[in-house]
Amino acid sequence: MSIAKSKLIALINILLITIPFLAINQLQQRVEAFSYPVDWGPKWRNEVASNLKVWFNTTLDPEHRRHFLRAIGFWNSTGTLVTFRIVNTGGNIIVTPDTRRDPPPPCGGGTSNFSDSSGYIYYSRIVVHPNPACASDRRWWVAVATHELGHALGLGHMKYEPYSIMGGAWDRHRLPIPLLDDILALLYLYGPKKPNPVKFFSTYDGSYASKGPAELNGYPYQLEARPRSYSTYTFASLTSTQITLNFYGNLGAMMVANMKYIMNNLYQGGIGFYISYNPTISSNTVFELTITRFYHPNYPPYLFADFRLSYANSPSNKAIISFALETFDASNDAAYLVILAVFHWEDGYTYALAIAYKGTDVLGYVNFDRNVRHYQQGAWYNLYLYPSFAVWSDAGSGRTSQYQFDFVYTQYSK
Amino acid sequence: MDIKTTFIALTSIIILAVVGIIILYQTNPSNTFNTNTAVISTFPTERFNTNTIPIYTSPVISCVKPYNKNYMGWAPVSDLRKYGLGYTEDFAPEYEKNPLLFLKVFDDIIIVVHAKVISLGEAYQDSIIPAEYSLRYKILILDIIINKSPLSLNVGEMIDVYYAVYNLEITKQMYLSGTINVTAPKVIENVDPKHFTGFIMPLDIGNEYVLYLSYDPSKPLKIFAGSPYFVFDSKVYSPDNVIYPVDSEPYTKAFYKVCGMPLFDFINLIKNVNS
Repeated sequence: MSIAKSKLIALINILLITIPFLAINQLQQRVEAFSYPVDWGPKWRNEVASNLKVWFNTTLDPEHRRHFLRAIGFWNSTGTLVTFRIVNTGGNIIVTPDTRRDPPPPCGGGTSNFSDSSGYIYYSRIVVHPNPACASDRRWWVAVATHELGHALGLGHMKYEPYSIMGGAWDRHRLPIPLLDDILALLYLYGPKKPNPVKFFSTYDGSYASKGPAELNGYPYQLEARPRSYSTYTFASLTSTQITLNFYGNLGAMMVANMKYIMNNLYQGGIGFYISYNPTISSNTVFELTITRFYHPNYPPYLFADFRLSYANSPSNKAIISFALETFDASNDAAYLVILAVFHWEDGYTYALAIAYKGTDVLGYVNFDRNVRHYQQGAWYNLYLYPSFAVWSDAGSGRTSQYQFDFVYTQYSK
Repeated sequence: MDIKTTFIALTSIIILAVVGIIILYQTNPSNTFNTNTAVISTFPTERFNTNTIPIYTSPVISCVKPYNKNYMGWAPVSDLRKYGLGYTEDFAPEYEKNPLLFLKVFDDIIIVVHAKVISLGEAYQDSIIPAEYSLRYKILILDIIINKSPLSLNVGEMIDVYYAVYNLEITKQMYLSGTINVTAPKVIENVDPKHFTGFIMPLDIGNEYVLYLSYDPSKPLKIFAGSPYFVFDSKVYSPDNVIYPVDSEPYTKAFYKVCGMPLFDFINLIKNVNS
């Protein structure tokens, strides 16, 4: 046999050996990425998880309370079944400072989950250590709050998972929000949120009450918009007691959600939706979500920021879409803005995207295309938004009606 | 295929297999992570309103087998898991980088003492969780290591302190009923140690501990005692003896047993960390 032939055989051997190892290595990384949460505990019963009542101990520092309210907003915006509500007493979960156990209080938090003999969590207590030496890093504390709430939901640690607030999301991306693997875990545990009609209520005190825009003056709030009806509505008026959202176009052909009026009346900054999609999700379906910033006095209106998702071959022709935005510093016009967009298709495909902004600086950027067959992303622009909101839309069902949205908002302590 | 070709092929396979294994091991983070190693180092002040902690003494922080000469027969910590209690704990990354940070006192209501446990009194149900009690101990203060609080404590003084524990019987009732709405006695006069345990096993009569005391400023007469995340007692712990039950490892990952260091050095270490 010639030397050249020997080298050829050696090369083949190299390939034969290397490829499996590379494949194993990649597989291992994927397993690590997908094995989250490795140490998750019991879960809540679904009927409880969809209405988890959180009670803040009165001794909890208002700053920590606000961090948890933000974290609750994040989890509630994941599009999963999990929904937190704030109550004044009792409830399923208590958030409390720990002045009783194991001094000196270190910087961090802890969660105790109590599960029953059937294996379901029936009570959870989240303890934050109000260490004054580490209270200045607000965003980190929000990450702690989000993380501890994740524990309360039954999620465990995944130390090396970069796309999880239960793992390395904070260290890697400085994002204090649930990311794709958290959402996947919750989808596995609890399933998606059902876009059922909901009442207009304040999660601040857990009571159902109408709130007017005037009450939204201040900082910060969380807004959620949820579909209440699939009938045709015209939202021509905005009264002092009800927020009105105008949609233009017809669902099934094109829907534009215009939140100009709301933002113009409530905040200097504003953001709107421009949503369009084909009536039937097919192999060539393009779902397009355009975020529009407008009505800021210092900026020309209608600057578009958009990303585009192409999706193919959905067997169900249905999509559940959730979208959330959050800001961190409304006192600064160039505010932090974290955007989390999650798209759950009923056939199991999930899209998620998160971005953190401060002014025009992108602080962190994570986009996920796991299980996405076709994915395109457009450009993002500077966005200014003080409230956050979420939209759940039942798409592709051929309805041609406009949506009416009720708002759920949380009033945070100033 | 001749011998030379076979040799080249086999050599390639072996070399690549070794390389592959090395790659696999290098990409497995569990091989490079050790949470039980205490590192004395500085830490960034990004999250802490304090300067770098100067450390001059190297402790020996490894006691695989704790020995407790006065173990009173507390229930195993694992019983908490048995009755449905899961616990996760999260600290700032600085604590993992420098566990000595656990010795640092950030709040003026924290008092650090060296004390001997004299007696055990009642158990008080004092939490929204029915199973949570506080054991009342009487301790004799042997040394006051740190006290920036307005509370006046003296060496030789005996004081009451309270230690957080779980009543396993009540924990079991909660577990079986799936609710916290169970009846629990407010006071238990005669404490049977085998019905109680804590995230860190409760104090034993006759032993000496370095304790971190704290109190609610609105109720300064009720002082809580907590084991520091570093536990030192040369008379309590020995690496060669085990009396604790098998499943009694503390229900916290942040727990370090300090062995082989004279008490004087350990107290100095605490003072240095807090200087």
